[in-house]
Amino acid sequence: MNRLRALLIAGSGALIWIRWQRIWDLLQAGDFSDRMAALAALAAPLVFALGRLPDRWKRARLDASAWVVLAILAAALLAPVLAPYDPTAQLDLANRRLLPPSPAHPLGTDLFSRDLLSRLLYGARLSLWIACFSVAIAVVVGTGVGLAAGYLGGTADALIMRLVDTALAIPRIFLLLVVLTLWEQGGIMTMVLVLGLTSWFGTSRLVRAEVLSLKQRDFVTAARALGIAPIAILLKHILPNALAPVIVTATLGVGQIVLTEAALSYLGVGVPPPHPSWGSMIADAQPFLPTHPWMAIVPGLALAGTVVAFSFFGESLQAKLDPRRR
Amino acid sequence: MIAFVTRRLAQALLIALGVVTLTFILLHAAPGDPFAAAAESPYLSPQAIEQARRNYGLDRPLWVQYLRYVGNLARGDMGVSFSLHRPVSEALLDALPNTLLLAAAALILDFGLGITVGTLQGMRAGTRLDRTLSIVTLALFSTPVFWLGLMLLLVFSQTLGLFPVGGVTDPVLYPSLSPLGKLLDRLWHLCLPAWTLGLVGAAGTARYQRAAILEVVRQDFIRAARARGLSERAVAMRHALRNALLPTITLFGLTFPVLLSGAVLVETVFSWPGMGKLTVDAVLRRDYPLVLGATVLAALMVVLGNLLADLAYRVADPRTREER
Repeated sequence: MNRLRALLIAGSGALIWIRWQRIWDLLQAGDFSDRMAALAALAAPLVFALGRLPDRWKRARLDASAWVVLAILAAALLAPVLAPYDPTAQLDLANRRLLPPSPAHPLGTDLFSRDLLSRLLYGARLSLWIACFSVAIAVVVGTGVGLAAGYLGGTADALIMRLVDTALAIPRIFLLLVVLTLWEQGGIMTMVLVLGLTSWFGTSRLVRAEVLSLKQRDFVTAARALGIAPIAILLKHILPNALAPVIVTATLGVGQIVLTEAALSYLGVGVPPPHPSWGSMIADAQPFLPTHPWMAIVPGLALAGTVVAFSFFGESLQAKLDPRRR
Repeated sequence: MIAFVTRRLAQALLIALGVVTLTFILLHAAPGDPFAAAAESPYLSPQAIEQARRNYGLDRPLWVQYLRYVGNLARGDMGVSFSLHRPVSEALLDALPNTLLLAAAALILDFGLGITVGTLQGMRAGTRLDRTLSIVTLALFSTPVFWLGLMLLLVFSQTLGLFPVGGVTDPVLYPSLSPLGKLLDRLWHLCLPAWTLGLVGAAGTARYQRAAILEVVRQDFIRAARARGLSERAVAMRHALRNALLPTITLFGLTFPVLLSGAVLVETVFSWPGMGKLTVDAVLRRDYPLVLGATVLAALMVVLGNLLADLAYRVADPRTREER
C-alpha cells in the first residue's frame, strides 16, 4: 500500500511538472470542467500524500476492477490536462492527415488531422459524463416508479407494470431510434435525457420486487404497529434496504449506456460532430480499416475495456453488498 | 393447458396493443406539425391547407385518429415511406427474410456454443479452465458488437481474404452460379455477420447456462448419479444438462430483442440489406413512418418470441402445468 501511495504521489507530481503550462492555461482560460480538471491535477499529489482511506473502504479492499474503474474515471476527469491537443482542432489539413502513431501523435491523426489520443481522452470524458447522468436519471425515475408501484399495489401497480412490460418489449435500440427520429437531434443534453428516460424500466421492476418482499418482513410490520406513517416506512425503512441491488444495476448500467451511446454514435445518430465519441471515432475509421487499422482498434479496445471494468466492478459490488451470494 | 394458452395469448395481444399505443403517443408528443411549413407558404391558401388536413384525417379528434391508426396497423397498413416512396409494410417484408436468416444463424451459433461452453464450465466450476472461460465470456459480452464485426472483417476478410466484406450475395457472379453454388455463396456471405452476432450472444448464454448448471449440480440426484458410478459425461449430458436447459428456454425469449438490436448494428457493418439497415437508413433520412413501422414489427416479434418461449417452457416443465 505504501509503495502504491509513493507511486501515485510521484506520478501525479510528474504530471504537474510536465503539464504545468497547460494547467496554468486551463486555470486562466478554461471553462468550468477544464478548471475542475486543472484543480484536480494540482490537488492529486496532496490528496495522495495526506489523504487517508476511510476504514470502511480499507476493509472493503478495492479489487483490481475497482482500480481500473478509478483509473478510467481519472483519465476522463483529467482529459484536458492529459490530452496533448484540442480534440476538435484540425491541426494541419494539408500535411498532418491520417498520420501513423509517432511521438508527436501517440495514436496518429484522423482524416481531419485531429489528434486521436486527444479525441480518445476527451471521448472517455464525454462518454462517461453522458453515461453517469443518464444512469442518474434512470435510477431516480426507476426507483420512484418502482416504489410507487410496490407501495400502491392494486390497479395502479398493475397499470404501471403493464406499461413497463410494453416498454421492455420494444428492443432498446429501436425505441431510441424512434425517439431520436421524432425529436430534434439536438446536442448532448438530448442524448442524456433520451438515454436516461429509456433505461429505467429494468430498475423499476427490480425496486418493485424488493418493495413487495420487504413489505412482508417483520421490521416493517413492527414499524407499522408503532404507528409510523406509511410514506415514512417506505422512505426510511424499505428504501434503504432496497438500495443494494439498485447500486449494482446502476454500476452495470454505466457500462451498458457507454455501449449504447457508442452504438448510436457509430450509426451517426448519437453525439453530434465534431464532439469526440468512441462510437463515431470507430465509424470514422471504418473506411481506412485496411490501411489504418489502429484507428478502429484503439477506440474499440477502450470501449470494451471500460465496459468490462464496469461489469467486473458491478459483480464484485454485488458480491460485497449481498452476503447471501458469497 | 387451453386456458393457459388463451390467457397468455390475451396478455401478448394486450402488450402488442400497448406497443402500438406507445408509438402513437410518441408520434403525437413529438414537436412539429406536418403543415407548419405549408402555413408559411404564400402559394397555399388556408382553405387548401384545411382541405389537406381533412384528407389526412388530422382534423378529427385524437381518439378517432388513434382508432384509425390501430385499425390500419391491424390490417398491415403502416403508411407510406417518405424516402422510398412505397408502402412501409412492403419495404419491411422485403427486408425481413434477410434479417430472419441472419438472426436464425446467429441463434444457432449463440445457443450451440453458449450451452456447450456454459455446461463445460458449470461441470468444472472453479478450475482454471472455468475461470479463463469466465473472463473470456465477460469480455466478449462487453464487446461492442459493431466493433467485433469490424475486427472480424479486418482479420478474416481484409487480411486473410477468406470471407467477403459484405452484402448477401456476390454482386457479379451470383446470377451465373448453379443452384448449389448460389446456396453456398449465400452461406459464405452469411458467415461473418452471423458469427459476429452469435459470438456476443453465446457469451451471454454461456454465463447463463453456467449458473443454471451450478444450480442443478448441487442437488441430490446428481450426487446419486455420481454415487452409482456413472461417468462424468453421462452425468453431464443425461442428468445435469437436461434439467439446466429449462431456464435456458426462458433465455430464448430474452435473447430475441438482443438479437434484433444487434442485427441493427451488424447489418450496418456488413451492409446486409435487412430490417436493421433499413431502419438506420430511415432514421438518417428522418423517414418516421418507416422507423415506426420497423419498431412496431420488431416489438411484435419480441412479443411473439416471448409467447413461444413461455409455451415451450410450459410443455417442457411438467411442474408448471400443475399450478392452476
